[in-house]
This record gives sequence, structure tokens and C-alpha cells, in this order.
Amino acid sequence: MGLVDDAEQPGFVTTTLDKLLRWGRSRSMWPVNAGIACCSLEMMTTGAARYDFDRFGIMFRSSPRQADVMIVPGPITKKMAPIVLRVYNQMAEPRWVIAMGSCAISGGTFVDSYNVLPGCDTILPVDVYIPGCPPRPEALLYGCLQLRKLISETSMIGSSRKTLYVPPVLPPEWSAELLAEYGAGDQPGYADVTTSAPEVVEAAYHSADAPVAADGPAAPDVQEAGDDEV
Amino acid sequence: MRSDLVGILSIHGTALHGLGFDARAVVTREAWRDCAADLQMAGARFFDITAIDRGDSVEVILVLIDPPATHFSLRASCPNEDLRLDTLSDIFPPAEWGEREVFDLFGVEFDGNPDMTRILQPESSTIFPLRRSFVLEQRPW
Ligand code: SF4
Repeated sequence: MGLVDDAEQPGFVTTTLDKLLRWGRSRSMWPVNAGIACCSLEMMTTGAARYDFDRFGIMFRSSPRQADVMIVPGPITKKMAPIVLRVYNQMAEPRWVIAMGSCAISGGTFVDSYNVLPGCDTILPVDVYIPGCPPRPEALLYGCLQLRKLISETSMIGSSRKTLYVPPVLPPEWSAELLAEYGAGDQPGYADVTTSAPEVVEAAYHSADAPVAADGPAAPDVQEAGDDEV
Repeated sequence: MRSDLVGILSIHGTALHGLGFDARAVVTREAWRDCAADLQMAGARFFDITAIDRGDSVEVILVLIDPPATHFSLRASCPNEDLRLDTLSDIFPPAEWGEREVFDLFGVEFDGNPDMTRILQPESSTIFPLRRSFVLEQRPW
């Protein structure tokens, strides 16, 4: 009875489907198997028997096509950045990013290096930050559970997550070829940045609160895994 | 140190100074390649190639092993205005990547190296980060 009545409400089918999708997605987060630096050893430990990622439905996939979460476990060098971004772009949508450890959050101990990005959120839209050097496996698990909460609370219908697919700003050191590969084309938001004059790109890249573009979509909201509770 | 290696060094107008790992022979840029070739013929083996920025010049350091276990280095300075040196990559094949690294980090170009491109940094990079004149970017905080 109630079901039939509800079914006549506008959006009943889509919201129910949405709920189902959110439930399914949040219970089967599959991170892409990309260990970048020393934090990946904690990541492996978390996947192994003692901490056991699998009990939460988190299973590492070797192919980005099968994955929907990217755990960034370490500093991203400027040479590595195009590859990380390529893997990210190959992942199935909707996709999420976890920045694991100080290096992925801000560059960590390598922040002043000539060759390391000051945090992976300079090229990727990060959903959960996990502090620590390295974070303990419990912290990683907690961060993943926070992400699970985020996934099950975010509707995938409509345009609410569109902005998260847009890598905010591209490093100016990249060759014109790479910038064209990532900047030109169908995705709005960073085309504006990469086609502007080099000094504009430079300024956007180095400013603390890197704006995406004047008329582009706003930078996504991010959720912090509270460090005091970990 | 074997006497024939010492003889080769003296032919090229230099001699060994220092002890142990610090043993070094400084040659001119012109004698760099010939001296290394002669040492290779006499049995010296390649260990490493690196450099030091001395302020007004960059000193390229070729570390060699006199078998079985004696290390010594052959050094040549390039003034900052003319950072060029002859390649050793045909004498010691592993030196090719070492020279690319010296080029990548110090900006010394090796004439005759078959692939004088960046090796550690992205190809589009324009900096030589281990030079004293290189200034790191300031953090916004
Ligand atoms: S945060 Fe620490 S453990 Fe993690 S990648 Fe950086 S240096 Fe390594």
C-alpha cells in the first residue's frame, strides 16, 4: 500500500535506486593498487591478515578500470604526477581519493624539495586526509570508514559530484604536450587554467588556496578524518 | 695504487693526492678523456660519476676502482660560463646515465653522450637543483 502510494511521488524510483547504489558503493570500495612510497607498506599491512581490509569490502585491484578509490600513499614527484593523474583519470566514475600520510597531504618532510608536489591535492580532488608519518593501519581503516560514510551520504544522482572529477590545477612544469593531454577537451574547469598565460598558471599553482578558474566549478568540499579520534 | 696507473696520471700532467677514499687526481678538461681512456686500458674500473659546485666552477668527479679494492677519483673543473666536458660513455658504458644525472642536477653538458637529456627530473624541467645558485621556492606559509 505505502509502496504504491510512495511510487506516485516524484523521484521515488530515482531516490530508491540512489539509496541502493550508495549502499552498494559504500560497501565495495575497491582501491587501485598503487603504492607510491613508504606509506604503502602500512597500506599493505592493512590489507593483510592482521588488520584485514577485505572484511569491509575493500579489495585492492590491480587495474584502475576496476577501481573506484585511489589511496595516495606517499609524496608525488613532479615526474610521477602525470602518471598518477593518468591512473586517476582511467578509474571508473564516481571515484574518490584518500590522501594517506603527511607527504600526500602537504608534501610532508619533502615539502621544500624541488621535485615533489606540495600535497596530492594540488592535482587530485581529495576526499579524506589521513595524518601520520606513516598513519597506523587503524588510522587508514578509520579513514576508509569515514570515506564509506561519505559515500553512503552523497547522492550520485544529479550534478552534486561533478566537480570532483576535475583535477584543480596542473603544474606549470609539465610539457605543453602533457598539459594539452590533460587540459584540453571536454572536462570543464581546468581547460581555463591551462590555456591561460603561463604566469596565470604559475600564480594559480603556487597560491595557497588554488582557485580552479574564475568561472569554473568551485573546489570540492573535503572531509577530514579527525586526527584526535585516531 | 699500482705504479702503471701512477705513471699514466703523470703522463697527463697530474698526480694522486690524499689517502683512501680521498685519493684524487685533478686533470685539465683537455686531458680528461684521454686520461680516463688510458686508465681504463690499464685496468681501472668505473665506479661512479658525480660533481660538486665550487661556486665559480663545477668540478666533475669520476670515481674509479683500481682492482681489487683501491678507490681514487679523477676530477676536472668546468667554469660556470662553459659547462662542457667530453663524454666518457664510450670508454665506460655505465657512465652514460651518470653523465645524464650530472647534467640533470648540475647542468654540465657532456659532448658526445648519445642521449644528453634529463634523467631524474621531468623532461620539461629547466632547473639545475644542485647548483649553489639554485634557490628553492618559498612556501606560502
Ligand atoms: S608520510 Fe612518512 S611514511 Fe608516509 S610516505 Fe611520507 S615519509 Fe613515508
